[in-house]
Amino acid sequence: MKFTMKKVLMILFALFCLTFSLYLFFGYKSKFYGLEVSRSIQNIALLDHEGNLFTEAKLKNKNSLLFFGYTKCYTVCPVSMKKLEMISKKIKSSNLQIIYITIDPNRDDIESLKIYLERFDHRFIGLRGTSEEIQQISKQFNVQISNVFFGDKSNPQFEHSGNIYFVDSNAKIKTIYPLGMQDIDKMVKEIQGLIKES
Amino acid sequence: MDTNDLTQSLQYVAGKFREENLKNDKFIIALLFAHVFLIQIFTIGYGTWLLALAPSLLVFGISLLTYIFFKGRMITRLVFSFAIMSFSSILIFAQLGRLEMHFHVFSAMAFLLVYRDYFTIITAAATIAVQHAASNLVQELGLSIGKIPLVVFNYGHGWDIVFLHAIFVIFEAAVLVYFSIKMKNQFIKERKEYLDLKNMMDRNEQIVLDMESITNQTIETIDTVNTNSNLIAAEAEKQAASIEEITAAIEEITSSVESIAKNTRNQSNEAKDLNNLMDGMILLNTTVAEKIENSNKILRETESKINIGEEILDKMSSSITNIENTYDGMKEIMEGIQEIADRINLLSLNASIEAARAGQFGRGFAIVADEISKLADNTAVSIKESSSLLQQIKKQLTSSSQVTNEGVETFSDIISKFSIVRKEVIDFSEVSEKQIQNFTKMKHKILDVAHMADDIQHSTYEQKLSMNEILSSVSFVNENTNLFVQKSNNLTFVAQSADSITSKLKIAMDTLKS
Repeated sequence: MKFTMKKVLMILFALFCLTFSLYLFFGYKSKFYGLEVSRSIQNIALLDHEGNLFTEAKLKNKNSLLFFGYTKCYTVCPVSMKKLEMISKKIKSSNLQIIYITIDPNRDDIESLKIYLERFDHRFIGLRGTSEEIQQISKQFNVQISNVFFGDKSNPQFEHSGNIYFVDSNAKIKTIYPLGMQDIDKMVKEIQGLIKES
Repeated sequence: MDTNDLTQSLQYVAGKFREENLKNDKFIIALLFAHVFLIQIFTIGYGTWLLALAPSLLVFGISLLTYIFFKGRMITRLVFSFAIMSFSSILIFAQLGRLEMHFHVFSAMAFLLVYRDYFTIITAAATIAVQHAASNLVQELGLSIGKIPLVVFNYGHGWDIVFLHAIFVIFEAAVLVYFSIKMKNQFIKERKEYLDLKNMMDRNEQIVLDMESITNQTIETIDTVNTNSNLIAAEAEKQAASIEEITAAIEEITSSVESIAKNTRNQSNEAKDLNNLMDGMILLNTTVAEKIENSNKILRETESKINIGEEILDKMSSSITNIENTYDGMKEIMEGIQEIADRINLLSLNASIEAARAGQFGRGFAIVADEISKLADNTAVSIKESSSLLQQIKKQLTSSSQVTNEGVETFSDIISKFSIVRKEVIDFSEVSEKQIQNFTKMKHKILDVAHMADDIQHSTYEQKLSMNEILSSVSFVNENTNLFVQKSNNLTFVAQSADSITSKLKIAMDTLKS
């Protein structure tokens, strides 16, 4: 095999890619445990599980952990809800609110939301809106909601993102904790830091 | 095809397949490189750039090394299948397991069809299945590579979903395997056909070269033809103009010939009229000749009569001459008597003188002498009277002779005049005969002229026919010339078309050659 200049350069480039990859995997230290983003949330006008109006004003002056789910979900939601409850218990700060937005307003009325949330933490705020309102908000959060149903016909299930979002007191998404990145200790540590920052 | 050929063919196809795969490898490595960057675009808004970049570079680095060392080989294809499916997974990571990102799996598998190798498809399907299963497992177990967690599904991670996805992947893989086999067969078939074609083309190369030289020659010939046909067209146009001039000239000639024919016809008729007139003249002249002959005859008779008259007159003249001669004798006699009387008278006078001297005795004598004198005187008087008579006779004789002579002279004159007349008549007769001869000759000439006129008329008729034939020939020639012009124009056009065709042919030949 002849080693031309071109070939040598290509080999070097391949090695660079591999090295850089390994560095990213093992050497690189990112600022956040979660995925770092910076996106403002606007035009929220939903009803909470008490029947009060919830606008983005309520997102301001307080930090929020935000999760999308539905009460009949038995795949992702219960695990994430449990994790949120645990986080809520570890972070006592009154500067943190935990928001649960139902993505199934057809089945989740305010009453069932209230009953569902009572099983977790008192700091949990359930939000409900029309399908259009929900769609508008989930778009802002890049939440994917599938319209493909599976599971038992008596309790149809649909796929959706299981991300937990940290929204700061400026109503800005700061970090995302997707499934697989929801280590509670790490999250608690990071969220406490973020609350302190704000 | 013998075994050797078959082997050669198979080797050729295998070679071509390797060539194709080298190209395909190049294409896929470029595609993989593009993925590294494209996936980064998909991370925007998801905060997953690191999540995507680290495995992207890992997969691409491995792929590139494989490409460098094993391009064109099966191992490269299999690594690439693995890599492209890994990028599917990375893309799914990038958007946090967004369902739509799974479409990349199907697209990427379709890209692998470029290899026409069902192994790559199967490898890819297996890769994605293993990755999903493994990732699902590690996700369930919450595993990560280094600091990076493994996320495939973001909405629960049930095995039923893995199974659902797997069914679609298997289904697509089956379709792609079918097509890859079909395409490979197609490729082999095409290459074999191409090889056959190439062999044929190699054989045809010489023909192509020949054809090329023929094409070049044809182009040259066509150029010549083109030039010549243009020249011909120009010449033919000139010829057409000349033919028109010729036609006009012939028409003029024809009209002249017609005029000649008309004139000669008139001439012939007039010659015939003249001939008739000549016949009349000849007849008239013949009659005149006959009349002259008769006149001549009469003249001859008159002449003989005149000669007789002359003879008579001559006789008369000689008689008169004789009388004159007799008169002269008589005169001489008379003169002799006169002389005698005179002498007697003189003697009587002398006798009276002597008687007077002899006195009375001579008386008686004197009386006789006197009587004798008286007698002598009477005699003298008678002689005188006779002489006067004779003188009158002579006068008359002389007058008669004169008249006779005049008559003879007149006769002579008449005869001489007559002979002149006769001569004139004879001359006239001769002239008349000559005239008849001349008239006859003239008649012949006129007849000749008439014949000639007829001949000319006939000739002019024939000439006219010939002229018409010439005219029709000329018009035929003209038509032909026009046709010729048209044909030459056509030829030019055809030559031009042929030129473009041959140019195309040339281009085709060049293409064929290259």
